[in-house]
Amino acid sequence: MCLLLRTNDLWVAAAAATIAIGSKFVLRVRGKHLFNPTNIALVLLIVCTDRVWVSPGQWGSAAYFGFLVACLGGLVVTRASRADVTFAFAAAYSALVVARSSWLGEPMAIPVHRLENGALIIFTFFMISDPRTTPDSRAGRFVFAAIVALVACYIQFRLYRTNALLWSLACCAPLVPLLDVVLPGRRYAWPSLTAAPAPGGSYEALAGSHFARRPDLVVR
Amino acid sequence: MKRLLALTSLVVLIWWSADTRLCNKASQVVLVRDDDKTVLTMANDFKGDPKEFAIVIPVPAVLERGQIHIGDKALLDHLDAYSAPRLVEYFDENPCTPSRTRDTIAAGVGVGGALLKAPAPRSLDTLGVRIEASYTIGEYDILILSAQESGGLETWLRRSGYQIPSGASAVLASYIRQGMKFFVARVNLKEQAKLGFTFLRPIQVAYESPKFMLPIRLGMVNAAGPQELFVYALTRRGRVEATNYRTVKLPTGMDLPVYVKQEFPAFYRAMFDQQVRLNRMETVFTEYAWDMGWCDPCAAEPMSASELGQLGVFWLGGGAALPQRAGSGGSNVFITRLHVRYDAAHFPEDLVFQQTADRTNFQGRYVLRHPWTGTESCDAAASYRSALAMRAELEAQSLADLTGWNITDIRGRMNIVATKWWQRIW
Repeated sequence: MCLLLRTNDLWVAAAAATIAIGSKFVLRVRGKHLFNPTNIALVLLIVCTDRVWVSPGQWGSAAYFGFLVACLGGLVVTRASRADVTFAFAAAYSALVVARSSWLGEPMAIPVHRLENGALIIFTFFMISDPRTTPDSRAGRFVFAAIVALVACYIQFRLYRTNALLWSLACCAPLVPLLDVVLPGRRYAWPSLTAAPAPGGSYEALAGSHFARRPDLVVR
Repeated sequence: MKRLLALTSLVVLIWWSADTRLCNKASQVVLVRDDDKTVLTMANDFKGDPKEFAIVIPVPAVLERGQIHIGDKALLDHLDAYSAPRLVEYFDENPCTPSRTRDTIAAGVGVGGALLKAPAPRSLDTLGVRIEASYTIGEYDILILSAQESGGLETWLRRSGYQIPSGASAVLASYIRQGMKFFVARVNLKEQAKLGFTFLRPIQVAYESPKFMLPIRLGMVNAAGPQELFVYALTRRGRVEATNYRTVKLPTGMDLPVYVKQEFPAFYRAMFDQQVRLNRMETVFTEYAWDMGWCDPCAAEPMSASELGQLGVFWLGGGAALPQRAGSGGSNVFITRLHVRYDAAHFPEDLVFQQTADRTNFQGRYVLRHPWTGTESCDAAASYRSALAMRAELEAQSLADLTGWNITDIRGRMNIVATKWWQRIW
């Protein structure tokens, strides 16, 4: 959150943390929290206060490739099994941005510049990829990523509003429970370091299971 | 309201304000913005024959006559002087007799720019170009055009005498597809002669659109090199920044050699060149961000409510004084002065802005400290004099770092004798 939230007031930063964590316990559907915690905290504070902003241009494009490589590397090392939503969103959003520029007759330098955005990288790798707020099934995650990308483009290029990615994710998050019903899948669970082995099992076996990976680096 | 700074161990009192033109061939734009309402004031320093002057600007909607106004260049000059990077002078006091302190100032930046050329047409032809509106306002003939395709618009403009650069068609096309209209203005020589102006006054347009942006791509089509743009954003809420480019603050607060006072414009240009280089020309620079109700120190007096009203600040309420913000100190007008050097390679898309909640004051401010030159003797004077050499060296290094100027030349100007052998190497 501290990568995206900008404020001059300490109490606002504290409120953001409180909302983010609190939302995980309060805004739940079928035992699964509804909104990405960072996302809902940012959106609520932008709407309800006059003291918060997000600076999507703050990283420029100079460090873009280094950042991208680091994110991809981290993704591969820590959570390749849940990277599908990241790649699906990246593909859908990139396709829409490039398609729009092509339709407008803009040079490719324009969509490339738009995609070389640090806030977009953070969103793609650390926000939309939160396993607990994405659909359970892979198909559901693909659909969800495509919808988020579409809504974000609409907000950015038709409504001309900044922070379109944040607005889009907040608007689309309520679709996740619906997608979980229509396209059911196995729910993601964070690994528990204190979990006892099942009768007859062992800690080694637990560590080898799908859910026993180390916690992901996710803005959650 | 002018304020005096109180600093320790310094004495001074010389106010000087030089509204220096630090940059040539740059464009000035005032962007007044609140909610989705924008008032855009465009000024340039076009110095050629007025009949050769014309501008073509994409605008988000057809503008009615009442949405267009011809402004007063003096207001822009005042805004420019008020927000310009400034020098502040301090005079060291006698270290043997400590006393009061104060500060001073100086400075200024100016700008301007030129665009296209033209005479103008009257009627719609078969090229898919439609004259949505046609006005004569002040010394300008103004057309609001819409077009179906860029080739037709380009041909129409050429036939009508506008010297459209080759390559403009592709840029025009993307604006047409976004549904934008084209504001085309040229000088009406008869009206200009009647009004008696010998220079081109700024054009102001007011419109309502969610787009908070400046179209810069058209101006880059045939640019011979990088272009310079100053944006003075006047908002109710806080600082303005670019959302699609990095916005950084200009280095500020450094102590510099006193001789910089005589060549502040050269210093400023060199410093800006250096910052552009260091940031690979991909950055928008914030030069000033301040509550319009005051300044500290002031490069020029703050603008009055009346002047701000003429610049298009529409939320003032008509009083003589600037309204205060509800629930907090300060006025409800905040200025952000942005400076950008751009070309097509480094700024491929138009500038898009956002208003932030940040009301932290910032100014480009550079400090000159005049040494005490008295002859009195005391322990404090002895240690003061021994510290001066080190101070001068640090000032020289600051200047070299900021501008990229040769440190040896700077030391020479300051009469610093290199005491270490390695100081004569670099």
